[in-house]
Amino acid sequence: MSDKNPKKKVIVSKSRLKDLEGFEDLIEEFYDDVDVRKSTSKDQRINDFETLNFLENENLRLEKVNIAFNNKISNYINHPQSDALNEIQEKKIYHSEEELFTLLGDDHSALQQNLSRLLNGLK
Amino acid sequence: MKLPILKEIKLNTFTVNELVESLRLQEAGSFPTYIVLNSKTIGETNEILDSIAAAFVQLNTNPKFPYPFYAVTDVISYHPSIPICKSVKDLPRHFVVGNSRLKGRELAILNKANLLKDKVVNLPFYERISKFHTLVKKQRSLYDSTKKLAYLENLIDQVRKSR
Repeated sequence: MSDKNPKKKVIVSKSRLKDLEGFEDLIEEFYDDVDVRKSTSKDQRINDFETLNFLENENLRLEKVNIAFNNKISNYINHPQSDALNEIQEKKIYHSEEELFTLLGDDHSALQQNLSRLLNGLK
Repeated sequence: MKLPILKEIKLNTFTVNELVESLRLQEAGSFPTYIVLNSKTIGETNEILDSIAAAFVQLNTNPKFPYPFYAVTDVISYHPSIPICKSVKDLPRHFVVGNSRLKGRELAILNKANLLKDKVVNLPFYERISKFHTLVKKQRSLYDSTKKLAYLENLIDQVRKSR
């Protein structure tokens, strides 16, 4: 019988429920097809999702910490490239400096010409 | 099973041995925690934080990973080991959640978080961070030399054009 005619669920607010406190059974007795229930407030629903959201973000954070320390930093430590790259850069700097001094030391270079103009002007 | 949310810890004595015991009892490192150090001078605060950092080393727990330990003080703004916050309001909101009864799905996610935490706790943080700092120095020197090389190449180009 109850399966065929399920009770109608009447959802009331928290404040309204307070007014009806103690009368729920009476109402349900009087109206056979009514089931008085407390509504879930919006704040409560937001709080529920807040916890879920926090836990998902927390999992993500821990996963990132794990990847950073377990994979990335381990890789940097076990296969460092900085020393080799630094060496290449130092060599390139040395050759560039040599090239620059050769260019500047040339008689036709702008530096030489300006210097000679300056020094000749002093005579 | 408890949610990993911020909780305040109270420390009465600040000698390293007693701190080790207090921090262990109050589960610092297993949960995000903070200590309020108001009404202390700069010297006192630094001394206390150094002792706390030493206690964490003895506990083989890092004050930053997996769960942070914050010192709330407005007299200093930086400590090399312990993260500092000016006030309780400035603590990260991420760890501030209402502590309600957990439901099935939330418990399942929390279980996963606990598994991850156990995995992360066993990592040698101190060793890896110190090695990482050495690598960072080398990367900085690489950055400087790359910058110098770019400057020299630019200069060579300009000299060539001016001929």
